[in-house]
Amino acid sequence: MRRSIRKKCVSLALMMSMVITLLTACGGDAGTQQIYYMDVAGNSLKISAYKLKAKDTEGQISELLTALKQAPDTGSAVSVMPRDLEVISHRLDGGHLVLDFNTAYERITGPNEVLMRSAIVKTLLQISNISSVTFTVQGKALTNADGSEIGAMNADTFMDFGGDAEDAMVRRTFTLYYASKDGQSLVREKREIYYNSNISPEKLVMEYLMTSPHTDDAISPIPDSTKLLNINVNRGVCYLNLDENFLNATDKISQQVVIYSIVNSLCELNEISSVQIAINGEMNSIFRGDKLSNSYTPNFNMVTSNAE
Amino acid sequence: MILLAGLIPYTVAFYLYLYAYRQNTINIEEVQIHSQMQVLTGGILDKDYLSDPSDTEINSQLDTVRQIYGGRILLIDDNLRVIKDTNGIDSGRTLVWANAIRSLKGEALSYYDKQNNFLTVTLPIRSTADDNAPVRGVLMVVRSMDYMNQSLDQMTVPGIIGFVILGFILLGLAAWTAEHTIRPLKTMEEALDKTKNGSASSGLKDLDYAEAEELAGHFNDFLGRMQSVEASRQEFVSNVSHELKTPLTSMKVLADSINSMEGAPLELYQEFMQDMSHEIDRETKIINDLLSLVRMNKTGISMNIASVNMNELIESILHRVRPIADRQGVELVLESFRPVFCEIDETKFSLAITNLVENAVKYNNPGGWVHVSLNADHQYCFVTVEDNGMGIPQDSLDRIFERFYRVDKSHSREIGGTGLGLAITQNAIRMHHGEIRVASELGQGTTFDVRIPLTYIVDPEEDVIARRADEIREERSGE
Repeated sequence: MRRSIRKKCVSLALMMSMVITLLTACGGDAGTQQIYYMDVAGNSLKISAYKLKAKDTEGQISELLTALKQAPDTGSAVSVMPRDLEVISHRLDGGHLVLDFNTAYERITGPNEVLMRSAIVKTLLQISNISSVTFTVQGKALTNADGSEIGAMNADTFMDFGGDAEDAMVRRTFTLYYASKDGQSLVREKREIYYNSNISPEKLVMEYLMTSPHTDDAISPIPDSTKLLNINVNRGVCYLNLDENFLNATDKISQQVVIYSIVNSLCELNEISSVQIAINGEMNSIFRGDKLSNSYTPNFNMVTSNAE
Repeated sequence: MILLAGLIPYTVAFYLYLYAYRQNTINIEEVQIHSQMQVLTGGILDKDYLSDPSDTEINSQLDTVRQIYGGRILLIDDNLRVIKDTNGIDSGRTLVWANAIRSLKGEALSYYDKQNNFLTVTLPIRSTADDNAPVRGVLMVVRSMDYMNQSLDQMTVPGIIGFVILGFILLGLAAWTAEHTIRPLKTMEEALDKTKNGSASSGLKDLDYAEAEELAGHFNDFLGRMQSVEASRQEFVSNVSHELKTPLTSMKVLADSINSMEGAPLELYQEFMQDMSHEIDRETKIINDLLSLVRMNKTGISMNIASVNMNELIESILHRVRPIADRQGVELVLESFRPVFCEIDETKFSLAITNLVENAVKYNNPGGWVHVSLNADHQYCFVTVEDNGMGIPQDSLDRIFERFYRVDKSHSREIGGTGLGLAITQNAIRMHHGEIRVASELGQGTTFDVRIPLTYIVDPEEDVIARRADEIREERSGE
């Protein structure tokens, strides 16, 4: 019995070390780039790792353009550029790269064109000296269906969707108002939050108010067990619906501080100018002895300290 | 173990159920959004919203829907540009996403983002009037599925309660089962230990489990048999010593009396020596009988089986006994109904029948008779020894096969014999897997019925016992 357990441990250890080596090998040391390819159905982009050999910008541009034209190693992807499409010339002007294509470009339309364009731009933007890419066809600027120029494309031009995909995320600074340690005043805190673009800003504000602040000597004014049932903004009014656990706020934090931490934080958003708080869908619920008013506007007198 | 056996399937079933609920809710939601959004796409096409997203009516519709869904709505044109984003962030960007591209090609799709709990439905915007109408854009509806999580959370609570209750029930069940199966086993263990160590044990009683009761019954039987074996062993030893001592005592008496006599005549010495000789013969006979009995008891004794002509066998027995019968004035007759061949050990079986016939002659009166009959059917061979002698009293009938048992001790001494004859006979019959029965009436006569199978079947159990006995003997000799 003992021997077989030993054997198992040994093989497990071997397996784990293999996995770790594999991961570190694939993980890519600093300096591996990616070439963007297209899946066979023409619906999405696929990535293949690539190591740049050239050290100068010109060399790197040529190298990447060549790699883009080639078929990838993996079987389930194809090059985004059709065989008859050629880059006639390119010009780099202080970080702005202009690529001139032959007329074969005009034959590519619809989603395929968008996929190709995004693949080429994303691939080339990996070169450190390049900040934007513009396409021309035989010297003429590329235009949309409605005639407007597509113009220079940079890292913000394209977005992805779903989960943690980098292009689906948004980075934004929010101003939040937490309760001071003694519960009698508000502490302002600026926070940079990186979040999925599907989440509405007002929801994000409430979620962060319900967690601990980064500032020392500040606390979250909302009881832990409170659930955010829903939150909606219409014509500048934010309708906030919380469950009954909100009524259990500790006495240590004053009623006004609790209310205005929420109101002030939400009204920092452009779209919101006043807030209405409902408990389980009911308006005017009793909170700490007083009825909740129909609408609250921010009160900045209670702010005693600022934390950046 | 019972705990695990119950809780694991429960947990698995519970999680499966939650999973099914989640999948089902998502599917229903997809279908709902699909159908509800058809309404919007009509308006979008009519007002050519994709070219100019300023129409207030459409915008307020989009906003209302967004609020209800707690999510976000995006409108994409056929170049994958984001025309409208209710979140405001992404307008003007180009969406490069597989589902959007596929929807642009005509598919209605949905994507569930488990991490952020959003369900994203993408619908192609095209005119429903014409089947071949081109897809003008994509309507993307992002719906928050938080409500599903709330439901799931609420469902988890009863699930956990059920888990705990089940756990307790199983614990109770396990404990009860353990009690009822292990307790009787433990009691048996103790009783067995006691028996092994030789201390008397009263057996098992009062077990409340049916199977345990059966087991206890068998155990008690076994215990009883062991105890009776032990008792009979002790009895045998005391019987043997008694019987062996008796002739020796007689011899001692004779020797002492003649030694104490002064001037005894030679004839007296001769007479005493003859008596001594008789006693020694008697002692020898007892010892011989004992040895053969013990040898037969020794399990594992080999049976020398052969097919024997029963008629000839019995005739030869009668031939041997005839002189004694003639001396007693007893008539000896053999009745045979057919030729019978039987698989027997000739020596042992002869011994058995000889004893019966000799007894029938000895315990008889002058002018009496002894009838021996031989018969067989397709399975058994039947031998009957019948006499019209003095018979056996009813209350002794059960005991006549016991070793050294005599009905009337004083009378039997005259007749002679060791008291072992019937024990030897019964043993021999048993070894042939046969049966012996007796019927008798005092003063009228006795009938012994013997039945043995025509073919001898080896009993594997006897083999096992024999082998074990051999092992024990080897161990003992090694000590």
